[in-house]
Amino acid sequence: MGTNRQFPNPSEIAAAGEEIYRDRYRVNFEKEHFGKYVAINVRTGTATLGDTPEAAMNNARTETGDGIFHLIRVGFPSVYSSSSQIPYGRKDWLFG
Amino acid sequence: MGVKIGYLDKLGHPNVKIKIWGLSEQFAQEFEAMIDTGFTGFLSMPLTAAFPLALTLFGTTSYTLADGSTSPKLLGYGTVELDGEQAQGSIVLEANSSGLLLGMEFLKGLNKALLLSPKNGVVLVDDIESQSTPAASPQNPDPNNPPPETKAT
Repeated sequence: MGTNRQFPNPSEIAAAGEEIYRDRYRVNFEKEHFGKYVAINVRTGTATLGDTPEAAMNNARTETGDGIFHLIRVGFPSVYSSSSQIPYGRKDWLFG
Repeated sequence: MGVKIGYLDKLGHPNVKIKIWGLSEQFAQEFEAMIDTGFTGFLSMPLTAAFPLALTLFGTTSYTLADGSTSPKLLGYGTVELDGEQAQGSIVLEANSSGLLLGMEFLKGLNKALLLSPKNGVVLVDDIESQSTPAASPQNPDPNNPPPETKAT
């Protein structure tokens, strides 16, 4: 079921995308699509798969047009990671 | 073989000069970016520097740091050019960083291998397919030198 609401800041988009994925898709996707990328449209709750981040996002855009998307990698804690000790990426003014 | 040259900064980190743009090359700007082989993505750059480049905004994603913490990030899409060669990919937009990081997806996108040289600094060369066979291991023994057979007594 879609959540046809406005999102005042990006952290809510990300949180909504993670929640939709966890509740509706994670169990099946981790069995069948491990390692692929999935774009969650947080407006409609739909999920679009791709072999790369770009493929998932482009497929999602093509299918649903003006959705608001959150990108997840199936079976991984995040899409991207860094093993460097560079002080980038802490909580910030944008995401609070 | 195509060779790209960068430099090692004062801290010894490999850096190269790149151009970045989004919807059209008319928005391109030149930056100096650090190559970070610990970063799995294509490019990470400050959000404020991304505005004039007309990147396409994808949405949000998540990013895991070296300490294991994960945080949400905005995600854009654009083109990066290094010495005339171009690659397109997803760009992580950082709200509170001042530097640009090129990750492993960038090297993959341009099909480059990274060499670090005290004399030449940073050297990027065209990557090639490995011709070697997989390393021997207990699960994958060397067929030319099999381990001695053991017999049950």
